Amino acid sequence: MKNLTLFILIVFAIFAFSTCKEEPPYINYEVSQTILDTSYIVSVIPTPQPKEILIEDVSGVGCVNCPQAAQIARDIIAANSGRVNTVTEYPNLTSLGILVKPVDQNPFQSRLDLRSDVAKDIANYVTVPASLPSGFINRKKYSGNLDWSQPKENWSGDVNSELLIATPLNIDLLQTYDPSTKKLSVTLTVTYTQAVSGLHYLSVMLLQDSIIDSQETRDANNNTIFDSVYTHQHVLMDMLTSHTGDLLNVDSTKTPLIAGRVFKKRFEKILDARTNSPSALPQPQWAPKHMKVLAFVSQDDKSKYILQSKEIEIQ
Amino acid sequence: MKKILLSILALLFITVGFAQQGNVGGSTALPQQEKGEFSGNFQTNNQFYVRDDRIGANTTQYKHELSSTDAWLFLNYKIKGFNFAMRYDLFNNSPLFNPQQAYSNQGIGYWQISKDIDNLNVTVGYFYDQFGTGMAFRSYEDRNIGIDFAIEGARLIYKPTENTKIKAFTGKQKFRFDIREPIIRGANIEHRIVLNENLTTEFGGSIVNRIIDGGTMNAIAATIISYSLPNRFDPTYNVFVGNIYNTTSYKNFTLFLEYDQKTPEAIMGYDNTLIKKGGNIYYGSLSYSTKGIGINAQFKRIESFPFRTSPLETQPTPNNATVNYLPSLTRQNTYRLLARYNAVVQELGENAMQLEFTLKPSKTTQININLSAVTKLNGVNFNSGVPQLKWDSTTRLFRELYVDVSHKFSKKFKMLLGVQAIGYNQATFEAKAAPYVEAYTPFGEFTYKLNQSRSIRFEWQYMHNNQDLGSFVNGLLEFNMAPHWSFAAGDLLNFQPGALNQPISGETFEQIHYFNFFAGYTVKTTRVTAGYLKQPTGVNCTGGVCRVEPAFSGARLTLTTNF
Repeated sequence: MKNLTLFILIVFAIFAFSTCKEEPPYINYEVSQTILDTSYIVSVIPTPQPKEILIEDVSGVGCVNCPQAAQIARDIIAANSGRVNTVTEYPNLTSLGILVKPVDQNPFQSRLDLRSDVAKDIANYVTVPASLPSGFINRKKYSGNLDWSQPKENWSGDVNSELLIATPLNIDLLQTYDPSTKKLSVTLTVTYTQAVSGLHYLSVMLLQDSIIDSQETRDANNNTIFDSVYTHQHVLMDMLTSHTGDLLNVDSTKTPLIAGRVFKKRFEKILDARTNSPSALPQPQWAPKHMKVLAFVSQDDKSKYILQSKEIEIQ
Repeated sequence: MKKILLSILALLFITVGFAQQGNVGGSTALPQQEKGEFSGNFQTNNQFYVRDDRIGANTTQYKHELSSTDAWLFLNYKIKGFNFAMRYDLFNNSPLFNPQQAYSNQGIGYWQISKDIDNLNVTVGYFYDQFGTGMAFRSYEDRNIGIDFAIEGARLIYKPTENTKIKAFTGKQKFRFDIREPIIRGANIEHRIVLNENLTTEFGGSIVNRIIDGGTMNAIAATIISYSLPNRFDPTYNVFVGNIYNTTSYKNFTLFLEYDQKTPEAIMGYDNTLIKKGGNIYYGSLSYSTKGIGINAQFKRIESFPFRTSPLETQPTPNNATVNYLPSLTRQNTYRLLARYNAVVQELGENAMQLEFTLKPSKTTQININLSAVTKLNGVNFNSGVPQLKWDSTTRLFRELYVDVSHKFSKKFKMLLGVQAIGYNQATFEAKAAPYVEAYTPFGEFTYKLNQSRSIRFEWQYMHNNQDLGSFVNGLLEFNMAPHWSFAAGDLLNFQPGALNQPISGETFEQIHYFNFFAGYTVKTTRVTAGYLKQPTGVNCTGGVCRVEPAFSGARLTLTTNF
């Protein structure tokens, strides 16, 4: 009996003290980029916008099939003009190994490191894919799925289904960029056109097109090749909000999501040199003429579902 | 899964019910252990609201619903080491969970399956439990103030020897008819050593771990990100609370010591913003008891020890979603005006001390003296060798001086007289702009037995108070006709205004009567009561757990029965 008691105590002690150190959630320690944050109600409810669907293409430069996924996304956008947006996320995830690491094949070595911590945080928050390419369609968790990821073959059908659903909110985006100060200002208005419940989060992403760098891909004969001048589009560079989005209705009793509820926010960011590369390779630098601002509103952690998205180019 | 389990449980109760009926008077009577034991109880509280704006009795129930009902039916069946329990809860327009709202829902509020296997007890479903004093972990129900912090999960209790008990559990805290997502798990061991007939000592230790779920953490992170840069921090998913405690008894002395430590986590600070902080509690008591004298001295220091399923769960009541229980170290008064002011435990920091004397100079006379004081954390300086008490307007929270003398004059007549002096930091305890309350309350009680079954009891209190709602006098006359009937009538009169109900300039203060009438009928194990009453707003405490409640005006009808 004494031995059994001792055994139980040892087991308790092992379980109590042998766990590893936990990783905290993402907290943005950068100087706040939100310089206006207000909420009010308008008496005239605006006309609901058509719903814009967001394809999040989780990609890697060492992923041979990822260019096919990017092409599928482009085809869907072309077929549904103005109704579909996309972002390409290169997560800095060690679990994806060589799929995301810069290309190290002579003479096709990557000149840039496209990976970002914010893309890693999003993957950790939504779903860490087991392999690439992978993606999220409006961060919808489909019936029967264990997570939010969808294979590229399903994207077109998923988008068509989402296009039939109305959105309860409008997003309006304005931007200005001052090349002399490198200051980007984004003014964003979220207006609810019908009453809804729950917690809603606003995410604002900065994307960049036309980044030329190596990519593992396939040729016309389906052979694996490396393209050292591949054009990476819609690359997620940074976010003006936290990776989970900033909670819109922080106090749900003071700002209930009723028809006419408006949240207005303005963000500012100086597009300084990017120095946070996960490797010795440099990250792509800001090129405002190729940049876009993508904003979306999503539901809480349990659902994560994106209710509306909107994108504008930086001019 | 839950529905399947509930169906099995319900089927079991029905089967058992029929089995029992079949056995009554039957020729195949089984031994008691084979038949098992069926028991239960039922309670219902019904309130009918009569709006009275003068006393602030005007919450939603007074305006819209006009009545409310709460009911609980508890069933328990024991057989062959198994224990099956379930409870049906019903709330119709209930103010229990949030006095400002009307809550309606009903269903299975509790179910449990438990089995004894030699020295091991296994429980799944909902359970109530606590480790030691409960300051590290307590899962409990206090239905009168809307608390039901049952854990839904699994628990093991193992007793390897008569003097040793080991507990371990994991689960989630119940929230009405749902659960809160964060996981709570813990283990506790207690061991008693009898050194000789005069000296025994009992050691205990616990560790409790709360793990925040992704959704809750998301809300916490979003809140932190909304703060200015210097106030942001990394919240933790895991928090650990550990404690050690010891009770040593030597002849007439008993010494209890406990230390609790909590790892840093996000907690809601004084200005209602999240901060990251660990906490600790020191708690000790020394008591001496011999014929005619009892003395008990206690001290407790709490520093940053809120322990909830989530730091954001601070509404609608301060004790919302707590995983532990911090006992108040002040006297639990029962007389109406004496219980008007209570020291709600300050989980962010307090020093509390209490000294109790019970003297019994003769068989017919007893004297009780109680002194207690609670200060803010800076109210006791521990850095100067001998701890020094600092009692001023920046540190004081609560103090009470209480004396009562009771004497039995004859077999028919006994009397109690006493006085209470209270100091109460209303601004802190009730979170409203109010001056420090100093109230003085003499009181008395007379009981006269008319015959073997009938008695009259009269109690009175007079509270002198220039703050809060001013001075009150309370009188209650009670007539008992054993074993069935009891009647009472009383009036609490607010005859003089205080700082918070001063009349508008030019007007005179209108005295407010808080009448109450009561009748109770008891038959066997069933008791029915009916009453009409008014009560002022204030802090309502039961079992040391308190909350601020609005005024009440209306009728109450209750029924309780055991079977």
